[in-house]
Amino acid sequence: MSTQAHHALHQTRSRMAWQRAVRLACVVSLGGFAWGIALRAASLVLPVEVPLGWVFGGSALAALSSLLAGRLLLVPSLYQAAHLLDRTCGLEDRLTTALGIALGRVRSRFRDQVLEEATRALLHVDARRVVPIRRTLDPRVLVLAGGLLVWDLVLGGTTLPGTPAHRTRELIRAESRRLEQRVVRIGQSSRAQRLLRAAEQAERVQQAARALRQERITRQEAVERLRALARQVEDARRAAEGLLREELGTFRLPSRAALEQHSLALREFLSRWQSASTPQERERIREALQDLESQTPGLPPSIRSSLRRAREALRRGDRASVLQALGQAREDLQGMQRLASEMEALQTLAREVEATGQRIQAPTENRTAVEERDIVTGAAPFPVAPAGAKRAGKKEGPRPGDLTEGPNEGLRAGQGSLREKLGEPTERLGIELRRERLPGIPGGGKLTLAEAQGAGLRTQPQAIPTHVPLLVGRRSDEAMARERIPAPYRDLVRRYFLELGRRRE
Amino acid sequence: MEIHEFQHLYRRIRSEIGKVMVGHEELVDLVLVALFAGGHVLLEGVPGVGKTLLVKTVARVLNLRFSRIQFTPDLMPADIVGTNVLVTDEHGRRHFTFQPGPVFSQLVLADEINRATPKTQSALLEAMQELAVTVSGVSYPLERPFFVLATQNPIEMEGTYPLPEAQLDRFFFKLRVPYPDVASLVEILDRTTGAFLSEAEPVVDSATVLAMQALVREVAVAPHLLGYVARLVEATHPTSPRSCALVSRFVRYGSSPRGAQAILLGAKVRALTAGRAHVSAEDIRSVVLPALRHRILLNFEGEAEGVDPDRILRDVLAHTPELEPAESLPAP
Repeated sequence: MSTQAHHALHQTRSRMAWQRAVRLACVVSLGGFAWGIALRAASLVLPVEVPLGWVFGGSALAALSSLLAGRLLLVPSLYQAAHLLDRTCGLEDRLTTALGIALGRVRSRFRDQVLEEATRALLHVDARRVVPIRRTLDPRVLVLAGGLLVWDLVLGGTTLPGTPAHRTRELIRAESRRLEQRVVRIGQSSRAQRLLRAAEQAERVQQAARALRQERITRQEAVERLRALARQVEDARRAAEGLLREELGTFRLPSRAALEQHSLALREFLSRWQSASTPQERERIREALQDLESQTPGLPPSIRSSLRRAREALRRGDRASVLQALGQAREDLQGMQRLASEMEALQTLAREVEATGQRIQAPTENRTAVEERDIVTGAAPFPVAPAGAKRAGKKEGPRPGDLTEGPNEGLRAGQGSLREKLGEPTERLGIELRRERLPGIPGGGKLTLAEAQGAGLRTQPQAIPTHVPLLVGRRSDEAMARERIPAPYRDLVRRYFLELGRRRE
Repeated sequence: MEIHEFQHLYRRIRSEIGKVMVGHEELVDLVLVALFAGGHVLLEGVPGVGKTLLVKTVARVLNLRFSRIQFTPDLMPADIVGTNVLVTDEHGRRHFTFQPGPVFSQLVLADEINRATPKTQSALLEAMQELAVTVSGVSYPLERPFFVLATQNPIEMEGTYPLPEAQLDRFFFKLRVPYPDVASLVEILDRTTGAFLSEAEPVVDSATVLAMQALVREVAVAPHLLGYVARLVEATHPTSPRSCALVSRFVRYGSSPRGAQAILLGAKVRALTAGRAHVSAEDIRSVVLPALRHRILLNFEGEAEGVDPDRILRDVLAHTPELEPAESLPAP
């Protein structure tokens, strides 16, 4: 056979190899997609979670590997290529016979005739037409891939009631609802305190929680989202911390309580300065300012500098400069205070998000029957303890502030969480809760609560009495009108500050 | 002889036979294929469908010496092959002289071969296979070309002796002569009941037939087609891993290697009649049924259910790949 004929034969063989490789890749991807659909079907019952991206990515990767491996390993012989051409071009086994003759395997009187006919036939062979690679692509691959997409669009996240998958789904919903409710409070509080970053993040988390509740989503996806969200909130917190550190320089970050104290003191100085009319009073203010500057170790440098300026202005008798310096110090402090509050709110937010993610991620088998029932009925579960802690731990009695829940507790009568109703217990005031719980049915039963008020916790005072301004009583009244202090405690708070004021006098 | 000459002569032979034979084109083709391949043919059909006429016409067209043996239960082997007779010469001396029987011809019509006893039937064995007859220790070669065309009636089985497997195997093809369709019947009536009876003219002679037979052997066969034929024959064996479900269920013994030879030679003739110097897979498939249908032996279940061997062979054809997936041509 001529060189051209050989070339045509080799070209056909090469295309056959590609065709086989494509077919193999199709089979592999078919298997991948079929497996994906099987997993999707299983997810109706079991909490099997394989993200769609994994299925598509895995199938594509396997198909690509098969394609390359097939091209290298599934190379047909020249004889097979000749046979294919014989069949597809209607050559009636002319090429295979000719190849047999050319290789000395067939002896015939008609040797030359067969070879000539075969060569002539090969010159008119179009390997691309004979071995179409594109048509080898199995349409079932597209059908299965489309089926997988449609499945996810139409049935994605659907679970059969009473199955482990359904329980997982309900857990995600319940946790999302719980997170949303908590974040709403954090958001409201942040907005009230004009903590813009915290409010913004709270809004974002709230939207994410709502999306988690409403969307059909797998456990893994939910956990991933919450992780990303927690990272985002943590980033915002770090940004706030960075700003605060910028203000403080090398100084240690003061506690929020300390910042509040400083702020309160400055407010008092301003107030006293405005009402001071005699030199003696001014001298007393100057001394107090000096005391504050020298005796307060954690005072930020910018504040210290402003106080120094105020003191010098006071000595000079420059009223305007005193006011300006004190005002500046107060503004700086308020800014720091806001940043500290923001950090705190963001930290709480991040913690909530992380805790929700951990609760969702915790394997179902680690939950108690009560928790499972809570999940199904929509009640929030306990805060997540390390796996096995409950089983390993001994029976622990309820601690103050630890609101244990029983079955059928919730947001409505007979259902839901006490924490949802009352919020977290404050740290500064001991609260004793007495509960009278009636076992009800979901949406039905009855829950009565009684709250006993108590005195503040006996701890070290966080404010130095000498720093408590004289006018704190009036200010506390104003503050109490502005701040959200529960009505029963208002009198207690007012009396506390008045007592401090009296001591100072 | 060249291929185009073969093709030309074949067409002329076909045409001459067609003057006498109405319809049965495929049957005529297969008879000629067997003759040019050097094989014998067993024709099976009800009486009056033209079996004998076909054989006579073929003999005339091929210009071969023709003899007809009507097989009957009382027919003796000597009636076929001939015998030594006591002859007195002009000097009054008596000696035995061999008197050739009707088998000493070039085209022998063994009519209703299954009516003779197996002993008589077996008399044809040597003649068919060895192309020679041995009488009283003396072997007498038969004139080439030599063809036996036997007929048998598949309906009247009373008082018949079915051919033993060994003898069946000697037949190159077993052909079924179907009942003519209405159009062919009309044509037959027109041709045979009128005043003018058409006659076939001789086209070739013995030497030409032998040359044509020799040319058949020159046809090239691709290696994978040899394998295909072998696989087909192997697949008729119930114990073979290649056998299909029908073979496993209904066949006791599969085809002998003679079956494979018949397929390949028949395919070669087919190739030549198509003007090709090489065999195609289609040539092979076209002769599998006539070459193997009498070579597979049905088991009791197959016989009881009246399974047609053609059905089994079609199944074999359907399940046997032309080229094995891993088949390749090893280096010479």
